Amino acid sequence: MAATLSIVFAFAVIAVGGRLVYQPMLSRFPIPRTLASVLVALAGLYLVSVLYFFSLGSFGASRFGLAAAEVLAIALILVGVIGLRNRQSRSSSAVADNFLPTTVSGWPGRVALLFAGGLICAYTAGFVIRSVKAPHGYIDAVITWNRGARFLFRDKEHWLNNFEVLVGQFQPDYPLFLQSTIARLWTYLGSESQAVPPLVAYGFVALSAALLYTSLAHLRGRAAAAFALCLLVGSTIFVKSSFDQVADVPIATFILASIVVLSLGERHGLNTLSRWALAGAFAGAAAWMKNEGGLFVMALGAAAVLGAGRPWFRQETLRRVLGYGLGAVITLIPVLVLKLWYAPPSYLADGGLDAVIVRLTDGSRYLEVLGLMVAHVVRLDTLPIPVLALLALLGGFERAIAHREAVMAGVMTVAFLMIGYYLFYMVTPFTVAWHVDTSFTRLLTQLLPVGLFLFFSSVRVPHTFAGGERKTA
Amino acid sequence: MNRLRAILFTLIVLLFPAAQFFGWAQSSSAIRAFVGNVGLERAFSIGTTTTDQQDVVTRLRQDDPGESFESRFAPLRPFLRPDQHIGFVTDRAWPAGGSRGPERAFLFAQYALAPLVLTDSDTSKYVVASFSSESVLDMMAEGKGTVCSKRQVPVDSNETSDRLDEPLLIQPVIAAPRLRPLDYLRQIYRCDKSTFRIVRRFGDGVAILESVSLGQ
Repeated sequence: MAATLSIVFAFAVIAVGGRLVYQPMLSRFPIPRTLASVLVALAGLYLVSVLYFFSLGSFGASRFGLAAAEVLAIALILVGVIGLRNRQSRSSSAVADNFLPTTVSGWPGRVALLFAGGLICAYTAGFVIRSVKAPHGYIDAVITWNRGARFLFRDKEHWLNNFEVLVGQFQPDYPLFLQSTIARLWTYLGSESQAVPPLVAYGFVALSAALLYTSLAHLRGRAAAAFALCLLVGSTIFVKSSFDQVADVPIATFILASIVVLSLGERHGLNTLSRWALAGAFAGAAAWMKNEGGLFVMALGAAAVLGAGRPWFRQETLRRVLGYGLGAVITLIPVLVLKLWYAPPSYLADGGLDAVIVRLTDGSRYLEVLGLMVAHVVRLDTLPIPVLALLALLGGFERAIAHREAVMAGVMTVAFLMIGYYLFYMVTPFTVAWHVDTSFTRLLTQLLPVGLFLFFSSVRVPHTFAGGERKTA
Repeated sequence: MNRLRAILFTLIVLLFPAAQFFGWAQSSSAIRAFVGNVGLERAFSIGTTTTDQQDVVTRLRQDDPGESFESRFAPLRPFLRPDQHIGFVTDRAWPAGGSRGPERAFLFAQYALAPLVLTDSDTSKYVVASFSSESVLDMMAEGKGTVCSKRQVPVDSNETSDRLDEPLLIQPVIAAPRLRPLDYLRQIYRCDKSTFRIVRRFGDGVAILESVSLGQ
């Protein structure tokens, strides 16, 4: 009974905390409830994960201590929200359609939606089988995230041992989002239930799929959303990655959330500073999930500076950069604390600057890395990238995109990330072919949901060839 | 024209996940057997499956290797203090031909024994042993085994291969980072006669050992 109440409390805190964090924006950001719920859940998950980490560092994160800290944090946020609401009530609030379209126009969208439903059922059945047979996950999840969760949960006095395990094998320099999320649920349960890691993994799969579907349905109609969902759940690498309980799908969810809030803000006339602050906040949360999130923060920051082709010196650019910086700095705090005080240096620093220069001056390496990366991008068996090229040819590009700046920023971010990955492989201390082969597909998995969002935001889908989709309240 | 585009667009979107699912199904021996029984074997063998597609089915089929380590190491935990750094030995296969047996054993042991920290150093006084049987453990205690660890100084590679007929015990399991398979295979281990004393047995080849040579 105590465990049940505790776990109910644990989930309630995620919902209430996320809602409160998101509340100042939601009141001026009238989006469908389902879409808002997904964003609230992501904000809540980030909040409780960070609280758990700081609780460990201060009073050891016992069940009651943790609950008290979470209640206190919610109370503090509530005070802030009430203050903000009083200020906002004096200004006019934005008005927009608050519902998802309830019907799908045209048979292609309906067929795709039905098909996506079938895929989700088949996927869920597969996930359950996999989780029952292998609750600890794939070896990478075992040694990095689930191992880390055990270090944080099992001995609150010696949780710092997490950073003393071998760097090359266990990656103790990794951020602690997933580890703290799992350890927090164990703390509330009072035991190390094997159901928790798969539950968290499935939760992020559901959130990423729901975020992709609801955001596209809201911005581009349900048909586009259904097509995107089919390609997401039908991608081998997405399925494999989520079966494995690794952090690629969770980080992909936060990468997608950054671009989605930017798009929603633009669509609903949220001012530049606020929408870029929201995007920055979700980007910072991505960096708390995985080291690659740091590169994403820089890439989206570069897109904020260059911003959809506008001259960089305009006042608008200043607002974008300021907003983005403010949002990102707040959610990057736990990452900075972790990296500065706790985590050992990454194994990627092996060899020092001299070794990096030697690699960069090796001419043959440039072509080798490029060739290997291109070979992965055009593979048909795992990711739908060649399929998307074909669909773009058939559908053609939309000229009037309601969230054009956000789409441009997203495309630029993906391009910057690709350049970042390229440079990363250029200086890797490992064999280039081996490193690209074992990691690049996973990096592409992290970009799959946002890639599909950007694609279906820009390309016309069958029902728009002839007419629009009906929206009903 | 628009109708044709719509049909093609929809078909392409649906075909992609369908092809992925078909690839997974082809990798499943159970589905293969069923299709063979109903006489559709030829139609079912269209195209080739890729490693990634096979992996999806492999993951559904395989039991968790972590589970066996969990049960084997659970009795040890009350006897180990989290503030200790402790070594690890195993007789899992020598890393020839890309096998990562010893490495896997080490990784799963660390997972099972958290928050105790396992080291890759051979200077630990106490060592967790994970052997295939109790008889290997006995040989170790009698000094009949060979302990091979990451070499600290260059040694003749022939020296290690000459000793492969003896029970080979690798300590520590890992020498190079996991992400360097080529270096990993090139590694040469330094091997010595085992000088361990059994501190406590836990059955199934699991024990806590004390390094006698370090005490001398």
